[in-house]
Amino acid sequence: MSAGPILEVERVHQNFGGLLALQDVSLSVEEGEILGLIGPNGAGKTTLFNVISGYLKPTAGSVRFLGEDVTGLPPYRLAAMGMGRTFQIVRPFPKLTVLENVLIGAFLRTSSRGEAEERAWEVLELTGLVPFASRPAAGLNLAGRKRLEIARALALRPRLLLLDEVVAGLNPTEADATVDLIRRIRDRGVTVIIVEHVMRVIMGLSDRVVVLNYGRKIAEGTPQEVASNPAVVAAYLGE
Amino acid sequence: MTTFLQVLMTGILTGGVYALVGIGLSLIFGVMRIVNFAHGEFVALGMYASLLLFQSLGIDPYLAIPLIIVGGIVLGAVVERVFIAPIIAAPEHVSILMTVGVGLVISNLLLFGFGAHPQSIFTWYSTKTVRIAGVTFSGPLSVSFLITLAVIVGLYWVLTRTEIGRAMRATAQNRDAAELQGINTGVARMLAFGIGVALAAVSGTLLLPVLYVIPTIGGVFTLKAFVVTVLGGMGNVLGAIGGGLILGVTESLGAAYISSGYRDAFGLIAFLAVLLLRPAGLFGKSRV
Amino acid sequence: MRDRLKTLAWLGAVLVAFTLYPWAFPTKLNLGVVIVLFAGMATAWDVLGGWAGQLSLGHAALVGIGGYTLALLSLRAGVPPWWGLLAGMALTGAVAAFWGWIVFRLRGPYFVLSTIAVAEILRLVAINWKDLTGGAEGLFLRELPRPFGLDLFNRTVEFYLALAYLGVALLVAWWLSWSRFGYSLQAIREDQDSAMAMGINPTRTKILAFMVSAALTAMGGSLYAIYLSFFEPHIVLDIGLSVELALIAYIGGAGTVFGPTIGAVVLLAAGDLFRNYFQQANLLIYGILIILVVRFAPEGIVGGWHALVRRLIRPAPGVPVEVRGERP
Repeated sequence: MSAGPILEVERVHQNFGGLLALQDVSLSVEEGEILGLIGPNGAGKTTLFNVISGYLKPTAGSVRFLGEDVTGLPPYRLAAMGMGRTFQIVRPFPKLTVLENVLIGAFLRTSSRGEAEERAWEVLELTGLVPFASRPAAGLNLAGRKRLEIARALALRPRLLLLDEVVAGLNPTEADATVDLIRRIRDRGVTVIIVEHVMRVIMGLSDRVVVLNYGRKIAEGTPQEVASNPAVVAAYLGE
Repeated sequence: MTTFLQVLMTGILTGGVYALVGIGLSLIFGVMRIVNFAHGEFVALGMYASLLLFQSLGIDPYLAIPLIIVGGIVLGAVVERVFIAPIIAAPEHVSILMTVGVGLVISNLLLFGFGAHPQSIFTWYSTKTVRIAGVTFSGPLSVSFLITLAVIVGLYWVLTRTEIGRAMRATAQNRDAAELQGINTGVARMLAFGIGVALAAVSGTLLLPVLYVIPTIGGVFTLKAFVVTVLGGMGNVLGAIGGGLILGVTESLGAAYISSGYRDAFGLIAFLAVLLLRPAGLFGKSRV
Repeated sequence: MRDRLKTLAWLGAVLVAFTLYPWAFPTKLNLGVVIVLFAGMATAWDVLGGWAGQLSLGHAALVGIGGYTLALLSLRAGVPPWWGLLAGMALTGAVAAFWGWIVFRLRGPYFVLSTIAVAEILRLVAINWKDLTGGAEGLFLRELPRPFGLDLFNRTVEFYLALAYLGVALLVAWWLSWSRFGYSLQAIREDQDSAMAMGINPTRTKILAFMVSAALTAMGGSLYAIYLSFFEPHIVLDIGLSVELALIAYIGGAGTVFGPTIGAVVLLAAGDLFRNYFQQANLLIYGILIILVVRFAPEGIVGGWHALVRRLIRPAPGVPVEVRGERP
């Protein structure tokens, strides 16, 4: 168990052929905390996720996970190291069942079918998906598919979980259930970074919040500090 | 020295027509992200259509070109609407299988309609040659090359100066953005396919005075079209010109100086080499 | 576990049913051997094409390498066919590893195109390199050793050898349906980016799938060479064969254990039945069928069957339905 922060993002730049999606972004995440990442549309939140989880190699800067430099490593290496993520536009494996979707995640940690299945059922119970185990993933409604995204990532036994808008589009009951799930996940020792537009969720859930605007970090602190920060207010009003 | 020039020039002339075949495929891929596995079959269709026009109505292939172009656009648009548009959202291998199926149907219908024996036409200019600077050029091949240039210029004009051309280029760049700008991407795709098919058919017409035609020749041309587009960069219409010339010259030189039996293999080897070393194509921007 | 064993039971039943074929159709043994061989080779194709979603239109290259390796080792070096078969499998595995490494790093349609190119190059080599391959005239396997006194050119012997091969192929497909490797193939097929987030290395996995598919195909290719005993590049290295394998697997049901076998039985038996009426129309019908299947029944015959079953047993919309079948 490393003594330092579980994740360190240092001075990351992401340049898309002239479009500067991220500029000099740095942040660090302590193990066991829930970090909220917010910002107006186009601020670069998903881009930052993509850099952290290995889908993008930053033009400059570095990412350290569990004390190791992982900049530019492909997503499957990071998954093996203990980083899980969900995608903003949910993409379960459509032709496979819910159980099989989660099973694939479980297979990362064991090659035994029996063990993987056990782990998969464990995760399905934690996420409340047991009644849907035999259903093809494509047959679930949005809430179900978003829940499945989280379940799949959990099956990897992650130490860090990146959640990208897992509450958006859900009705209040579903949203509350998801919030509850995230808390239970954290209680099991998983660090969470959550991107979200639904303010009450992220402010209620996060220990700390980081705010991005136009690819730059403009504020960082507790939810209360950030909410009363004039720069943050201006960024949201301006958009 | 003249022999080398000879071989080189023949390669360039043939390469020009290959470029025309490849440009159609590149256009279709660029706008629709679809690899048209029936592309060569449309070349064969062009050849047989011109053959029919010549044998039954006495129309010279070069004069039939406008007819072939119009017919090609119409046929391509119909094929796109009926077979391709319904599966546009499906994963890549679906469109591959669909176009393979369409290709099989076309080549076998040609087999039933025209028979398996090689056919060709003889015109007053079939054996005429041109002599410049001690190098002998095949008459028909030279004319075909010049017409190819004209067609390419015409295509360039359509793509850059017309509404529909800009619509196609916008759709190729980013379909969603194009939709947001109010461009009807469905029509753009339909016409891109139509033009691509027309270009293939015209190449067939241009090659008829020079080659024998059999129903299975389509497969050969599909493969050549692939080579041209990969050499030039998939979706890179201008690059296809370079790709075609390189293919033509490579085949010509290889067949003359190494082995004529392996003629078709040289292009394929160049193709694999490009995949290994420069997958985006030799001329920069690929659209994959 | 239940479903896994059920599928295995069906596998056994299918093989047992096939063993009765020479007794039931003694005059159609040639067709029988071809059906079983193609069922096996289509299943082998499917490992890469249906399970991993990487379409190959050049599998004839692998059939050809399998066939030519066995034949050349036997004719030129007197190597018994069982070693020739294994050599063919090893060679194709190596070829697939190298070839896959070149192409699977790339995203886009390059793999399909490369398969056509490689198969075509091999065909041209086979035609032109006369000293090695006998050129366009082909090779003639005049005689082969007799293992346990069996005549390898006897159609009944060939049938049971082919059946053993199909058994191996089906077992591989069965293994894919529940194993970790099988699931990583399916993940890549369904969504490569998601698969990476699950810890799956797409390039490495595709290469492995290709190697398995290649070796399994070559095994069939070797047996095919024995069946043909006289074969030329035009038969074993032709793009028509590649397309046929792909279509058989797809029409029967790609990515399923029994789909390719069903496809082979239906298409080749029907082809034989209608041969008198439709002579050369084989390929035309394949073309029409593939258009129809792609457009209206992309899951093939197997998928159509499952859809029918689902429709019959569904009690009411919205109620979660347990679908038994090949998926555990």
